[in-house]
Parts: sequence; structure tokens; C-alpha cells
Amino acid sequence: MKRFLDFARHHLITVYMVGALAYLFVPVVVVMLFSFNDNRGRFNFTWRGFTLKHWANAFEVPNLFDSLVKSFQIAFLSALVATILGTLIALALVRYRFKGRSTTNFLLFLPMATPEVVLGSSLLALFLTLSIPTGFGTIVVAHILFNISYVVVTVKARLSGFDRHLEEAAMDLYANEWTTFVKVTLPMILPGVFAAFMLGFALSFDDFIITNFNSGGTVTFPLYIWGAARVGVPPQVNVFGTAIFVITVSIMLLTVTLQRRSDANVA
Amino acid sequence: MPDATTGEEARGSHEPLAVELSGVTKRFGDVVAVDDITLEIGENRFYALLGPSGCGKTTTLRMIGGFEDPDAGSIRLHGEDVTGLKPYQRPVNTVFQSYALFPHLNVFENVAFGLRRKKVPSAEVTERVGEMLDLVQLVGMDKRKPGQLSGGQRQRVALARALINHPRVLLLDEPLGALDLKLRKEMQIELKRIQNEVGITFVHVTHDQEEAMTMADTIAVMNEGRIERLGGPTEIYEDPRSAFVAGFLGASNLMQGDRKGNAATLQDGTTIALPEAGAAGVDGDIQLGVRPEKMSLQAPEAAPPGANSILATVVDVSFIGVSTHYLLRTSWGADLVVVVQNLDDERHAAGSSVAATWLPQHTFVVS
Repeated sequence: MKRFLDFARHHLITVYMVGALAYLFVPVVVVMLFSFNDNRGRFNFTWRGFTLKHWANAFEVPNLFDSLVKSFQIAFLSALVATILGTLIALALVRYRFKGRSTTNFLLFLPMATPEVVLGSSLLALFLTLSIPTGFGTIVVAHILFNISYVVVTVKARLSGFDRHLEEAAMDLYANEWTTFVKVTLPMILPGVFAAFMLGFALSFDDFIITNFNSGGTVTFPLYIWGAARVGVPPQVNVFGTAIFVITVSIMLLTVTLQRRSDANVA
Repeated sequence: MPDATTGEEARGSHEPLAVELSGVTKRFGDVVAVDDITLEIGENRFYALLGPSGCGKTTTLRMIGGFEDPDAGSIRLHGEDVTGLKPYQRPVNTVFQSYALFPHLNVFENVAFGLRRKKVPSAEVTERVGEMLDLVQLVGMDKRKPGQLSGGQRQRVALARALINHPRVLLLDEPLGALDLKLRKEMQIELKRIQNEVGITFVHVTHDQEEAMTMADTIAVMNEGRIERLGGPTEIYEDPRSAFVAGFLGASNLMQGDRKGNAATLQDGTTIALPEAGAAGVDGDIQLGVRPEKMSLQAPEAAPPGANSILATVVDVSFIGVSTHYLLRTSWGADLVVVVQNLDDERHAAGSSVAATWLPQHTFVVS
């Protein structure tokens, strides 16, 4: 015991870091672990032994896979549209001085600052007033709405360090505005744009509150789990959760590696 | 070096003009950056726009390049009006102060950028980039990224990237500003060599008077958005015509005088003969000047006849090595600086009385 305390005293930062990481990742590890649990009955809360059967029967639970596909479609569509619109907004905000610029900056922050319950319910009120039937389309619209703010913030950060002389140099070398954007501006800000897309994708994928208000009959992955939780979550949810986590982390590692490489070239 | 061809001579000749600015004005808000400038730059010149920061020299260059639009006036390149044209529609290329190399492209693609936009066939691109890297002495660097190059190498890439397009005029915006002193000296000679080799007009913006005098055959000294003095390096150094130019181009001793014809009387009654050339002007209060290295020091009684001479007291002596700098004070309290080559052993100690003398033709009058 004394030896442990001595160790802790000398490695305070290490101990603290391990503790913090454990706090963050224990829930994730539990989710992963229970995807291999040989559970009995409808609940999957106590460890009963190792099995691979849930992984083998991942697609057997009705509607689970469908909801996952829907979530992916919504996340992809909303992140894509938000990235295009948000990047253009960021370019305008950083590059030009126009009337209403600071107002636009402020308004863009609002979706991030507004509680999701407020955003979701007011959107629903809007859709009902305009008698737009809620469903897949309204979910996408809602997700684009909040994603744009995050895209603008991310891309703006990348643009703020951008040397305007690079664009002037391109135009000096016979590139018109479009070619300059494609050959110089876009490649330079691409890491930021890509990061914005990934962020938007993730935000859309796990959104529950706003989606719940505007989903109509459409069931996304978070909505499915929410519904299933009341009657017992099938272990396949853990299987998909684990798979998504592993894939996401892999993509992130890939991104970091690529970013490192491009930074090394710039420095 | 060709004899200092002056702006006046260029104006009188019939050679085609590479750049013509007429009545060009540019305002940024309330600030007039460039104030009604008219400027003519001949073919195959090394032309320097020289001035302190904020004098409008960079704005002038940016208007020639098409990065700023003038509020008034017109810009012609080889007789063709380009006012309002986009940078990519003008037959000029620019070397930027920060070089502005594309960090995501390697040296080859940076240099090839302009040719690629002009859809030059790939084989020709390879050949011309090779030639250009040869000219700027960067052979074998073509696969490197700008981040892997030194300052001097980046500068050469920027130069190659502009020159490869065979511009009619090359614009250089403080191209050597980011280099250390030794490299700067090397690149000055290098730039001059390249200009001789490619034979196109260089318009060079700088705040470094020595750099301008070393490289340019014509210098336009700018101040507060206007051109103060235009001419060859020798001409504007010897006859700066304004106190600003006299102070900006090297050091000078300026004195108040009362002019009558070809002579002026100083405060202590000394009469100074003015040069015959350029002596036209009104009588009355004037400022006259003389460069420190044009003066020499004698014992008061040994002043040579026919020379201008001022009696003064030595206040401070600094031995520099190649020369000795004397600080003198005149009877009416003005300071004079005299630079004397270390040719003989005659030294004047601090406190001694001396006559500072110079030839009348070395006197200049400033407005």
C-alpha cells in the first residue's frame, strides 16, 4: 500500500491521466464486452459467458439494421449538404466585409447555443404549421440546420491562417477565380472541410432529441435503441455499437496520419 | 553598368513603353495611398519604386499586376489599356514578398503552374521547367515541397514560377526582404544577371535604397503616394532636389541659405557657390546640401581657392576602418557630417578648428 502511494506521488499526472481515460472508456469497453455476452432472457446486463452468436446473427433482429442504414443515409446527406453550404458561408465570412456580416456570425452560433429540445420542438411546430409531413426529409433538413453551424466554425478556423497571396499568385499565373478555388483554395482548406464533414456526420448520426421531434414514422438507430430499451435491448445493438466504434476510430487514426503528413509538407 | 539612363531621356525616345500609368489614384477609405501618379517605364528596364513603408509603392505595383483597381487614371501595358482587367488577363507576372509558393505542390508543379493553366503540352512543360530551374540554379530540387527549401531557394522558385511564362513585365514586391544580408547581396547580383539574360522589364519595389541603387537603372523615389524624384541612381543621388530624397538616399548635410543668383550666403556670412547646372531657380531662402563624402577637412588657413568652405569645430571623430567619420559643429550650431577616406595620416582631433571644403559642383539645392 505504501509503495503504491509512493508511486502515485511521483507519477501524479500519469495516475490522473489513467483515471480520466478509464472514466471515459469504461462504458465503451462494457458495451464492447457485452456484445460477446451469452445473455439469458431479454436483458443483457449481467455477464454469463463468452459467445460469438450475436456477431453471427447481427442482422437477425427485425428493423435494427434498417434503422442503422437510415441513420447512415441521414448522416451522409445532412453532413454533405451542410459541408457544402457551411464552407461557402465560412469563405464569405472570412473573405468579405458585407452588411449583416456580424449578425450572420451571431446567428450561426445560435443553433449551437439553443437547447436541442427548443430547436426540435420549434422545428416541429414549423413543419406542422406549414403542413409538411414529418419523416426522412424533415430529419435531414433539421440535421443540416444544426450541422451548418459546426461546419462554419471548423472551416473558419482553417481559413483564418490562409495566406491570401496564394490566391493572388494563382490568379497572377493565369488561373481564373474557379480554377484558383479548385487548384489552390480547396486543396489548402481540404483537411478542415473533411474534418467538418466528419463532425457533421457524427453529430447527425447520434442525434436523438431533435430527431425524435421530427421523425414521423422514420426510425433512426438512436430512436430504435430508445424504443428497444424499454423492452430489453438486444445484444446486437452492442454488436453494431462496437463495429461503429472500431470503424470510427480507424477513420480518425487515418485522418490524423494524413493530416500529420500534409502538415509536415507545409512546415 | 550602362550609363545612368534617366527617366527624362526615356520619355523623349521612341522605344515602346512597357508600362504607362497616367493619373493613377488609389484610396483606401480616407487614406490616399497613391496620389495621381503618372509614370512611364521603357522596355528592358530594371526599374525600382523606392520609398519608406506606406509611401504607396506596393499599391502602385499591385495596380500594375491587377490586384487592386485604381480609383482614377489608367494603366497601359505595351500600349494596351489593361485598367480593370483581372490579374490572369494581364501579360505580367509577380514575385510576391512572402513568395506565396503553393505549399501543397512540389517545386516542379509550382513552376509549371502558369504553363498548365495555359494548356501547354506536357512535354514542353517538362522542358521549360527544366530550363528555368537551370536558370535559377535549382536543378535537382524539382520534387521538393516549398516547406523543404531554404529562404533563398524559395525566392528562386518564386522567380522561376513567374519568369517561365515569359511575361512582358516582371513585378517584384520586396523580393529580397525576407533574406539575410549576405543572401540578399548575392540575390541582388543574381537578379541583375537574370534580368540581363531574359531581357524583360523588371519593376522592383523596395524600401532599401542600396538595393535599388545596386540593381535598378531607373529609380522612382516615392513619398506619400507621389513620386518625389525620378532618374538614374547617380543622377538622383547627386542632385536629389528635395530634402526627403536627400535624406532617404544616403546621408546629406543640409544648410539654410539666402540665394542670390549663383551663390548663397549662410547664416555666418559665408558665401557658397552653387553649381551652374541646375542652378536655375528663384532667389531668396533656400536649402542647400552636400554629401558627407564630398567634403574634405583642412586647417582653416589651408582651404584651397575656388572651393566652398565652412569653418567649424570638430565635435566627434569615429574611425570606421575604410573611412573616418567626423561630426562638426558650425558657428551657428548646425551639425555637419564629413566622411574622409583613410588615405593619409592627417587626423583632426576633437575640439580643433577646421575648414570643411568641397567643390561647387557638389553642392545641390533642395526644395
